[in-house]
Amino acid sequence: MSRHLRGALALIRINFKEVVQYRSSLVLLALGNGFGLWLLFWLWGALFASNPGRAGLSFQSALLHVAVAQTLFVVVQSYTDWGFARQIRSGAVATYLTQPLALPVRYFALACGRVAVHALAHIPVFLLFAWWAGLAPADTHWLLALPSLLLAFVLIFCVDFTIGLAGFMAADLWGITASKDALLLFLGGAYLPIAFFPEAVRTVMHWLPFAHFYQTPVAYLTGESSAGLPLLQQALWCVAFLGLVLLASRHVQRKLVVFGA
Amino acid sequence: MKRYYTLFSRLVIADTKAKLADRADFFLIMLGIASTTLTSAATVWLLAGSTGQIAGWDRGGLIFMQGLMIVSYSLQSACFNAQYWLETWLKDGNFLRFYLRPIHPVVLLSLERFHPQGIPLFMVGIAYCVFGAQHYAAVHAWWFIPAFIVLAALSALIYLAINLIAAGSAFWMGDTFPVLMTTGRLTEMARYPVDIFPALGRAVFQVLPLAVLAYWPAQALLKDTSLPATLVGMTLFAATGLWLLDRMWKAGMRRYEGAGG
Repeated sequence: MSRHLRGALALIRINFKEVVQYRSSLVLLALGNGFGLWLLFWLWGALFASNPGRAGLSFQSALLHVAVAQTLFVVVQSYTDWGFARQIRSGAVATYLTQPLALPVRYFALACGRVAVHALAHIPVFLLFAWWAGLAPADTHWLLALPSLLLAFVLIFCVDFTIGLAGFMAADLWGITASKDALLLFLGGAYLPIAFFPEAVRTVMHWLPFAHFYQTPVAYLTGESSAGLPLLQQALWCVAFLGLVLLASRHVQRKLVVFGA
Repeated sequence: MKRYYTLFSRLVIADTKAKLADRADFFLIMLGIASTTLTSAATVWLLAGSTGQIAGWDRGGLIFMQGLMIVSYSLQSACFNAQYWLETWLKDGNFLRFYLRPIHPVVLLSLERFHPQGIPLFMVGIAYCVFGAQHYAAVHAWWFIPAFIVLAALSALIYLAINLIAAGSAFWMGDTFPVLMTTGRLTEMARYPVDIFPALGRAVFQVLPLAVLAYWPAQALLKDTSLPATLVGMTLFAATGLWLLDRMWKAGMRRYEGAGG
């Protein structure tokens, strides 16, 4: 096993153990998410009560889509953007640069540890909600869904890491992180399925990466899609985003000046 | 009181100058406001679908409620943004200075930081309200604007009390993030008509009191609910919220033992 992989695995294990210590916080977050899903059930129920065939979807399929997407959002929240930006500003990042693990790999490993804990906390709540609401995916395409979930996580991490680099130019990170969450959730199909968008917007979005953050994996999980093409497109976007992260990371490291280091 | 306003006006000028001086910060804050408000309004717009309605409310009414929520939030966003620092101050002992001044802690909190993002947020909220209400006959009545000002102010006080009570949980809990996250998720649902929820959900929304933030004032201003009754009800909720906030923070301060004694 290579030295880098061993280092990454150690970081995943350490961050998992650290995050899992905050049990009461995790329980509260999971309960809050469960309550949010319960409220979504009634919101979407009211929507479909007046028009049962909105956007060509049934109530069950639309609710399943949104509930899976919102759960995916809370699971993959790694807060890499906030943490990385804070460490750039405090200068703590200088210590990590002396270590033999590349900066993006380090933060990706930490994100994996956190996301694993989130999955343990939120997935049971989602399953309970799905059972209560009578939701069952008609035909989950696991062979497509699992790689798509992994690619979506990598895409989200790439965006978070790049936004963390904004710590170099902005003291207040709220604006850029709020924009990121709003755009990815809205254009990614987590607030509402992309079928709700007008035809022209959907055509444009076909050429953009946003749908691959939530819509593509969720469509495989809920059985809305079984085509391989979206997964291929998602993989290509992933390669492009990884290249962007590496370029940005190298560029920033050349410019980094830490007082006292 | 005069001294408070003098100090507060100095703080507003200093913090606004600081934010305007940093162009990257200013641009990113504007981007954050634009993307969050536009995506949330677009979500409501698209959700209304071809029927253009949710639970008997047309798009105009829904956007009006959205605007009311933004207007209400702008007070907290501009003047009480330092609430997010409370947990850190309690942990590092910085909160001890709140004991040394003979001013209410919540008033002191407002003197910690002024965030100019509240001003454009307020303007966007007003724009949404104007856009949403324009087709309603009630807007031509003489009482509409004075009633809107009073109800929006009461709504802002209730919203502030909810958020500061959530932040005040830091006196008892080591990690307030889940409380703030859950509060955010619940208040986000307050922009929808309460009629969509079942009896239990409506009761929860009245008690918390999320229904009072946008639904009650929208009912009184745009529909046929009694305005005097709404004014009395909201005044009672605002007074109760502020009283609870006062009691909670004072109890928290009696309980707190800062670093260093």
